[in-house]
Amino acid sequence: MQVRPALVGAGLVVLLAGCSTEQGAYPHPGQSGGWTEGSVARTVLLYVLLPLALLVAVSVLAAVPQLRRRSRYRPQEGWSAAPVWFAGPADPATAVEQAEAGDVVRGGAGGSW
Amino acid sequence: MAPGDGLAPGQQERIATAIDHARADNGLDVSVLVGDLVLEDLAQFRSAAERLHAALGERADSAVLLVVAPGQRRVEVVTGPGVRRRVPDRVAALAVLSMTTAFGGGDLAGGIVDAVRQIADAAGRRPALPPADHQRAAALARPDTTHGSSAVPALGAGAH
Repeated sequence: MQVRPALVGAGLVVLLAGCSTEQGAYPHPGQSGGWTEGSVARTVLLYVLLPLALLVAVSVLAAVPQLRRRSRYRPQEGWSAAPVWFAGPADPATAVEQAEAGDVVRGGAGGSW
Repeated sequence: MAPGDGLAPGQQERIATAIDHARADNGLDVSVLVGDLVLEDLAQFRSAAERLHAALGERADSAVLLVVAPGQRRVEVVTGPGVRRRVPDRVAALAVLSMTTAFGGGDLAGGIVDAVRQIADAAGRRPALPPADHQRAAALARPDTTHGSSAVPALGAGAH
């Protein structure tokens, strides 16, 4: 479907052509002193760049909560982070290597999910 | 930050705070390890967790260790001989149950924090312990390329 891009392109050409025309070309006198009159750059800014900026701003606002939520743990997706030991031994790697479980009777419980 | 990329700083803060509360309010030495273990067989998980508990050194006798392996989906609570009266296996089993429920729903930090509180509440009150040093919490980091994940070094018979 190439119809829509073609229509948009044609509309833009007409718009830009209209901006650069003489003052007398405007049917309504009130329009002649408009901000975009005679300036292609201003028209582009008003009708292309500003809407684009608005679009980007809305997209960013919509994406922020998703980005923040991505750090959530999902059981199906595994775990790739380095181990973190809270209130662990001073030198965990050495302590684990030298540790001997021995014949101490420890308590506790375990489970899976 | 990709999924499974670890605990966010805020979550680590919550866990550290829960541990400090258990030490200050209940005089209970709680340690939490979050990470997958290098194991040939998941059946070795309990013995590996007991060895990690032994790695706590002199503290081990009166310390409670929570081992949470998010990738292996296993959790183990290990209590030292000196603290088994304060934290009976029944209490540990309840804490495990609340953790597995929370973890299954994707709430890793919340499950750990609740479990630490449950265990501390059940342990009653004792003279406060000084706050733990959490600065070295991440000192275990060592990427294990063969599994595409990080793992506690030198654990299990078939450590890669």
